[in-house]
Formats: sequence, structure tokens, C-alpha cells
Amino acid sequence: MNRKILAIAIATPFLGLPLIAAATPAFAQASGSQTYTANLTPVPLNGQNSATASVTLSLNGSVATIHETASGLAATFMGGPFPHVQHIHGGAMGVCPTASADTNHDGLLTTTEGQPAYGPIQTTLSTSGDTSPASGTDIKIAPSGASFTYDRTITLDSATLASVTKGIGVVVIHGLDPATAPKPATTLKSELVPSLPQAATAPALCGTLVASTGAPATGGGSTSGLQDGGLLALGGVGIAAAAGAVGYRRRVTANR
Amino acid sequence: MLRSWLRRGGTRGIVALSVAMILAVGGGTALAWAATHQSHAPKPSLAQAGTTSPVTPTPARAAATSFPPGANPAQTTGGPVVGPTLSASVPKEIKVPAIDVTSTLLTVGRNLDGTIQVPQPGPDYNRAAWFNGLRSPGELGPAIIEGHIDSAAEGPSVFYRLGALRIGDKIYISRTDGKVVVFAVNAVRSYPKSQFPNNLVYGATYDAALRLITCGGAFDRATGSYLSNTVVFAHLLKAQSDTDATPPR
Repeated sequence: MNRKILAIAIATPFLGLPLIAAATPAFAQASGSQTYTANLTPVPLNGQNSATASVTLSLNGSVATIHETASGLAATFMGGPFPHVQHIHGGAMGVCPTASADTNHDGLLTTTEGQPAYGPIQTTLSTSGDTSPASGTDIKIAPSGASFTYDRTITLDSATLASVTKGIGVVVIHGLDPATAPKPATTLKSELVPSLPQAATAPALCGTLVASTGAPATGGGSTSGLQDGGLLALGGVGIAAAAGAVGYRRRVTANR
Repeated sequence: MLRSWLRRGGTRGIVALSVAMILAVGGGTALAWAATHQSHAPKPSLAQAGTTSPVTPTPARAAATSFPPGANPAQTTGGPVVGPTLSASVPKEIKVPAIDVTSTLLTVGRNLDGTIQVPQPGPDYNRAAWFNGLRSPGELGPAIIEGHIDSAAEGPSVFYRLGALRIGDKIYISRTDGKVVVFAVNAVRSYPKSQFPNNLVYGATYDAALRLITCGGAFDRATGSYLSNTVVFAHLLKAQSDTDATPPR
């Protein structure tokens, strides 16, 4: 028992330290970590309608811890698992393209056609090594297969950091299943890697990273439920006492 | 007849009757006052659920919502931006004539855990607050303005009647650059806090969007918190200069 008290006595001053440290900075944004989530949905026209993915990015300074699950994507490519290059795009509107982004009206939405909406590649979400835009089409370090889980902690460069914190960082997963993709995906060459068909690089899934800002606590409750409870109680007591007084008179009357 | 009935109880009976009458009238008045002074915030009507994203850039829609004459928009990207947009400027005041709201704006940021701050008890509690974690009203993307529905003890607060807004109602926000930006409501919705649509409310948009947020639904006394939020979705109609910007009262 005494040892427990001693332990608490020793620990207490230290428990306060992180609180003080956390409370000190004038700008709250600079210290704590911020979580961003993106729910990726199929890019219009490109036929990957059974695909889905979600990304959670925890940002601490410029260090991003990324967790991602994806499923329903193209499974195989030339006998091997289908590589899905993926990136954080940014510096533009921060939205995913709509069907109207298909500016040449060929029924396929290419990575370039989507750029006015989501911007250029800023970070490559590779499985290892380089994360710069230079590795954007390196299929050797791309996650692959119909479904995958991706976990990686990387340092974001200033451009990506600016996009993410501004709410215009967009995660795009590329690579279309030729079986469900529109025809130009297999007949046209990729504008990014001319040796590959469009299916290899066209965007399959897209979603904006949005800060977990939450439901604001904008009420104290004084206009909720039954109000003026005290007054209601007083009124009730008054009426009850009145009934009591009438009863008393009845008794007095009966006794006479 | 009445006199004989009154006399039956003697003096004590009359006193008792008088006391009973006073108590009954007083008690009844208290009950009636309390019953008629129950105030409850208007709830969003299902008829005003509207559409949260009225301006996705399908070609027809984009043409229909092209820049109105005189809006002098500053388009920020070459992307499929819909409607007018302006550069950033801190907002100063909000007016919502349809629900009699006029409030100078506080600026709030994020808590350490990243969640949105709210006006704290004190002199600023009943002011509406602009969230500086996202856009200025009029900029491309979502601008967030929140306000309390009520206080813990003192009744209605600035956004008490937010749920009564209807599609098409106007919101006027004056900015430090001298412009007044005019928004139109396109949806009024209620969401349980446990299912608050974070990405829909705070996520990037194709237009200059505005969301007004307050609390609503049932109040949980145990946690001291409402269980829902009312969210008004609006889009920018036009910007005007301060001088021609007197909104109708």
C-alpha cells in the first residue's frame, strides 16, 4: 500500500510533463498529430466499379504513417500480379474527376485528363525506396494484385505536405482490369509509359484525404428536453397543496 | 345557498378555501407559464434535405452555372471549377436574414487532437465562428462556419434556428477585403454525431462552398452533449462590394 502511494507520488510530477508540453505551443496545429482519411471510389468511365480502397494517414510534423486497404482491383497482368502504381496527387482542386473530364470523349479517363481535378503526382506511395514523383510509374515498387494492404511511414516533401494539410491531397490508385475497362484502355498506349497500354496507368480509384475534423460540440443543452423544471415543480406543488386545503376544509365541514 | 355552503366550514373552512384558491391560481399560473415557455430549436425538415453537392461539373450544369455577369471571378485552377470563386480573405461578419442572424465572426482552429474548436463559455460564446483550417467563404472549396444552438444554462444561442433554413435562403458574409459574398442554401440536414459525414462536410468541392454547422437532436445529460448536428450546405451565388451589400432585413 505504502509502496503504491510512493509510486504515485513519484510518478505524479512526471505525468504532468507531457500535458505541459502539449499545452505550451501557441499554435495547436503544430504539435499534435492529425489524422486524414480518404475513401477511394471508382473513377468514372474506367469500369472498375467493384474496386474500393480506404486510406488513413496520420501526420506528425512531416512524417506520415499510412495505412491502406484496397480490394476489387485488377488481379493479374501478363501472368503476374497486376501492379497498381499509386500516388498522392495535389496542388489543384483536390477533387476527383467527373466523367466530364474525358476531354477527348473516347470513353476512357486517363491520368492526364484527371489532372485538372487532382493535380500532378506529388508523392509516390511505393512499397519501398523512393517516394518522389520520379518513381511514379515504377511498377517494381508498386503494390499489386486484386487486394492489398499497404502500411508505410514516409516523410512528405513540402509540396505534398501543403496539399494534404490544405485538404487537396488526393490518393489515386492506377491500373485497370482490361476485362471491365473501356476499350481504349487496351488499344491505346499510356501517355505516361508509352511501352504500356492505357490500362496499366489509367486511374482506377480516387479519393481526397480529408482531415478528421469531427462533429463540433455546438450546444450546452438549455433548450433541450423539458425546460423550467423548477417552475413546473412549484406549480405542481401549488396545485397539490390547494387540493390538500380543500380536503382539510371538507374534514372541518364534516366534523361540524 | 352559496353563503350557507361557505359557512359550513366556519372560519377555518373559509381560510382553508382561500388558501386553496390562492395555491391553485398560483400553481396553475406557474404551470401555464412554464408550459408555454418551452422553447425548442427548429429541426431540419426532410423537404429541405436537398442535395449536398448541387454543382458537380457535368457539362450541362457547368454551362448553366457559368460566372454571372459582374462577378469578376478569380478562377484558381484550370480545372472543372463550377461557379464563381474568389481569393482568400478572412471573413468578418455573417448575416442570415431568414433566421434573423447577424453575428461578427470569431476565428477558430483545431484542438490538439485535430478536431474543430468551438466558441468557449464567456463573452464570445454566442458568436458564430469561422474555421481557419479550411477555406475562406468565397474561395474554391469548403468554408466552415459554426455556432452554438444554445448554452448550458442561458437558452438559445446564435444558430438556434439554423434548422429552419430552407433551400434557396441567402447567407451574406462580409470579408476583410471589403467584399460581401452571397451564398444560397442547397441542403439542410441532420446527422447523428456518431455518423457525422466528415469527408462530405470538410472535403474538397468543385465550387466555392459553405457549410453552417450547429448541434441538434436529443441532448445527452450524462455527457453534456447533443447527439446530432445540423449542417446547412450552401454554394456561392455572387460577390458584391461592401457598398451595395445591404442584405434585406
